[in-house]
Amino acid sequence: MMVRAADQLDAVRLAANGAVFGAGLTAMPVTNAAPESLLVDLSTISALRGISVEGDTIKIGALTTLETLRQDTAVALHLPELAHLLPYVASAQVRNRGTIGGNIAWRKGDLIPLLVARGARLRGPDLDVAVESYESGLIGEVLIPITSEIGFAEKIGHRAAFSPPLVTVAATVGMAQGKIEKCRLAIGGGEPALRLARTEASLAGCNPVSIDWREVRERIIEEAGHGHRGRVAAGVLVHLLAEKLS
Amino acid sequence: MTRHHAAGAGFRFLSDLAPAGCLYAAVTRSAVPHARIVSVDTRAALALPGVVAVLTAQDLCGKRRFGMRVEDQPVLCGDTVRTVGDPLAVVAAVDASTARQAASLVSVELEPLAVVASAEKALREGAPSLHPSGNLLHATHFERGDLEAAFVQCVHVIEDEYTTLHQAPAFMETESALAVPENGGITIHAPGHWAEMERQEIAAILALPPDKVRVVGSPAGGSFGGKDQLHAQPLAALLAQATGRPVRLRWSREESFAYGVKRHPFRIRMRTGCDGQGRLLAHEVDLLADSGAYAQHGPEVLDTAHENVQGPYDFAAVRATGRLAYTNNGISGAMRGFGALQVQSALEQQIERLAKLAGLDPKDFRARNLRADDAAGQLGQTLAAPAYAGRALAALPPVPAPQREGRFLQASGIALVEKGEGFARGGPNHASIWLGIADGGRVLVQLGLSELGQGMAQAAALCAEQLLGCSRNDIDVVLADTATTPDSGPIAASRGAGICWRTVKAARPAFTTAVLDAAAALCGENPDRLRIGPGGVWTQGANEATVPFHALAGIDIVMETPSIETATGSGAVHAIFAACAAMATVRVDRLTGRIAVKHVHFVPVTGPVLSQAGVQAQMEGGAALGLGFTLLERLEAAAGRFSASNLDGYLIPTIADMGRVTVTAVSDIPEDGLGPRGVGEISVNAAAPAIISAIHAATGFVARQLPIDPAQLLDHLEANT
Repeated sequence: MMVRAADQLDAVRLAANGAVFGAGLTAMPVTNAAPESLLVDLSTISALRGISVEGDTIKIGALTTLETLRQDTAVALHLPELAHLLPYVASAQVRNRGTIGGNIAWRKGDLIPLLVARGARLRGPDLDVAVESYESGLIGEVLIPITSEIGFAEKIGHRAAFSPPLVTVAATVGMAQGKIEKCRLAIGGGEPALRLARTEASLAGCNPVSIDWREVRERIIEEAGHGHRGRVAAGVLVHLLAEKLS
Repeated sequence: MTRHHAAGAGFRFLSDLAPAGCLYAAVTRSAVPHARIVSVDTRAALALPGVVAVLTAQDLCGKRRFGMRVEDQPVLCGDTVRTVGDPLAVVAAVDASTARQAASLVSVELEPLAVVASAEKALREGAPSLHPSGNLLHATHFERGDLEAAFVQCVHVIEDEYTTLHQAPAFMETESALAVPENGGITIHAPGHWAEMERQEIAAILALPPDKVRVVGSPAGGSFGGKDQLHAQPLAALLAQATGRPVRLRWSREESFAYGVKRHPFRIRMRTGCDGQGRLLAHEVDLLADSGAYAQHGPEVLDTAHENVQGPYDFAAVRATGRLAYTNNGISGAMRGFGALQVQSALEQQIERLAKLAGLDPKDFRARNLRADDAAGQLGQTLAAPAYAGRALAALPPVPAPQREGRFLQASGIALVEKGEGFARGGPNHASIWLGIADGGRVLVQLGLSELGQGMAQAAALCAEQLLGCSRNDIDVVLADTATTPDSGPIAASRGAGICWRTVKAARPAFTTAVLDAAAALCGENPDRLRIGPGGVWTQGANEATVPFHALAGIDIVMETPSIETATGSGAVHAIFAACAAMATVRVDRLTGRIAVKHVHFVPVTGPVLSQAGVQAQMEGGAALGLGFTLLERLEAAAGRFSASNLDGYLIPTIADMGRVTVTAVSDIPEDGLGPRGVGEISVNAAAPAIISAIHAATGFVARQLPIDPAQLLDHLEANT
């Protein structure tokens, strides 16, 4: 059963008794989920839509569809790695319904590693957390810092388009005086996102020219896992880091 | 044939047809792969408001099992289920949701039996027997020359085992039927491959004389072989008979995945050797295929694999054995390129690997080992005409050298295959055509062949235009309707275009004589000065039709073509073969093991080409299916259950996965009376091994398991860098 929420507070109130939030509902057929609990329809809350740039932050309403993001000029300008990633997320039909909030809230979305790497935060009526710390609650907007740092993301799927992910990787790297000042590395897609904190720490302060990328790859595998997924994530991350930092 | 068949004007899916008063059917199916049926209780289902009928095996009064070659597949299971999805009861209700709810209310008690989970296990001593005849459904054997003596002379030998998985047809429209009681009988609208055979089988199931059953083909949605035998028709027809009302039954995608037919998985062992000069000497093959719960076309699939294990090559000595086993792994059946595709994907790897060992260019290696055009077929059978594999191979462009671009390895590889067309060993090769001129002056071409989205109607119109001389605007094509078309045999085995051509050509003299004589009587001209042209019959030198077709209405010609029967050697299925060479270019991502197919170039030997666009479309569709078979379409059977039940878990290629597809047809072969060679399947057969060859050229990877697992390829790359 579905009930329509008038605004964000109404939605939170309706959800207090175990109901779940419904945005584009594109995950339901994939997961075969027919929620037995009440579904709170957010689709008419216009405050949850829209993209704006405020100072050094880009704010994206949680109900903004993935296809809107893909076509948005501010996203293309300030978050080029997101614009690069989006054509590989779902299909045009699913992107037309699927939302950034939904992608984050189902915990396995392809956008999460990029948002984690970017240090994005989530705000809602009773929420103000980093993306990587999100567990539950109504997402009102996604706040992404605009930086001059090097950022990239790549999805490795099973086919060229409309594919479930094997893994999605993302990184943001800040350079100072030829050295890595700070970096954030994350993997996700299909599974909850994982931040590669130990690898990040090991790279901080390094001059990219003197980095032994094989060692970095092994370190990432230690964190990401020794299976195919972890090895692919490590290989792609290292390749892109070496390429972007050279 | 393309999976991305575009809907034309006036196009309607069968599932969208619902005559007034139509009932909706749903099937109660087995949820387990093997069990004894203890009881089936329909009372709760019958009590549900809106339910009109519920049938079980006890209600059958006609034939209880069907199958074109082996009648082993229950219409409704009475004592045993042998696959997930086996039908236990079928419901007719006033709407689809009521029907589904009622089907779920049928109470079924099943006593699970041991699951026969693989062909290997099926043939072990003590394995549960799935049918009274045992689990060995079919076996093949062929020997030529002294194999062991030939191996002694070999300098290079490759011995390996290759396996393939099930492949689902994944057509747009799932198996569907609409059964309508009319004229004292039942009319069934359904996609199928052979309307007349379906009519005979359905009539036997309904215990009706065949003339009380009419089968009308449904020209939509694709089949790829998956609708070759009866699917939704019997249960829809039984319900229509029981209720006296139209009944439609459409399988859900999940039903189609569980119970629809798939490509046969094969385990292929090959030991192949050549001398120091790269001359093939010895070839030993052992095949084991999984038929699933029922026979369907399994014996023909194994026969086809068996006759293709040697490819177009000339081995001094050969021993080939094959077995086909019943299991509880769904139902294997006809699928585009069947049998041949699996063994070609293995054989061409043997050839590539031996060429490398012999230090020869893969194209040169193949060229020096081809059978002569005038030689007997692979199993010693007499062929109706050469396949011209050498001409296809020679027309391939030079193979570019492998390249390394950053994280990618790009390389090209080739393959050379032959594919049988039509049938030998007693057919069914027969085909009839009705040609005539209807009231209003339409030239009618009536054939029992089916349109399934592959372009049969267009092919028939093109044959009539090119062979009779009239314009396409004059022609109406009627296909696959047992009330209005003759029996033209099945649309299968790449025979459609050739049969069209041969039937129209066979009927042409009588049709032309009848038309010109009638026109001569009307206009007073000598028939020798008349010819058929656009719009009607033309007098020499005229600039318009002298006698328009509408003045000639009523001419009917019925013509049957002779079967292509030739002396066949042991186990040979086919007497007509077409050849196709292909070069694929792939790009392998060294970091992920992912493979992108950038280009497939086909060189099919086609004979006369009816339509370049038609050939191109078939080649593109076949490339997609071959790509899916090789790289993407992973359907594993574990303890009788498939790993996917929908297209979100079973990934077929998208348009983004498709590289460029180009075609250079070899059309200028000597006239042999056979007309155009079929191109409906051979693109699948050629694409898969060409893609595998390209991957081998890029990486040295041997594809022992198809589809290729990127994880295995990445392991290989990491171990070799």
